[in-house]
Amino acid sequence: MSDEAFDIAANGMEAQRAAMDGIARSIAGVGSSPSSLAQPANFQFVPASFSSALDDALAIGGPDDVGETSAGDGLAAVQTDEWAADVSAPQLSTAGERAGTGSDDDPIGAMISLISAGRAYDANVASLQAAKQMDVEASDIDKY
Amino acid sequence: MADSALARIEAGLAFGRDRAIVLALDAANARRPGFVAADVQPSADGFGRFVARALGPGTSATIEGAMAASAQNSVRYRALADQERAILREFRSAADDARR
Repeated sequence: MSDEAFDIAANGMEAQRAAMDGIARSIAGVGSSPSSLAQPANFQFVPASFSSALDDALAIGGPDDVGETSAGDGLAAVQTDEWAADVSAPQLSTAGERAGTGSDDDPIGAMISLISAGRAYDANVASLQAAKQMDVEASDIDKY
Repeated sequence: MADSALARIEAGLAFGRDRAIVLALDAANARRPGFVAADVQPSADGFGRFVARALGPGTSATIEGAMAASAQNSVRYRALADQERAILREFRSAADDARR
């Protein structure tokens, strides 16, 4: 079998993985935008990390250290763009679709998108396994 | 007769390979807005006739349908491969008998 099915499934898996990364960032940054009604206007998102948690637990680092961590890592940024590569002929495209999550103030919608992306990832894995199994069958035809 | 059977099995295997590509595209693009899933079905007089399958864009039916069709296609491909293997085994047995 040609490698086309493998390439398509791999591209789809890559797209869904990227979508899940973006959704995870959105969920992590929920309420961090100034427009959020759920948080005060001066709320600043502080991402959880092992080092900051360890510093807090051991009382080695102060609040300033945690603030430095939150300032530059961009975790509060939310990906709301929707893009689709190679959309000239969707049914012939080998690239998967990465859906945006909408608003960063909609954690429920983001979680639904995350589940949907996970299922799409599973579908691509199933396609990959089916193609692999068909290749194995084809290579075993001449065996007893 | 055996040649005809082999030709039909080969056609079925080729169709299964083509369908696997189409179904992989369905799964990869299932969440794309506006995407309409497609499928191929063997025609009555041959293989490879394209039949549009409108399940609606971005619906769960597209993902689940693609997964189910992919599994079905894989099982059918395996059955055809088993048949071809059996026919080739018969050929080998006949050749061995003739050699003796």
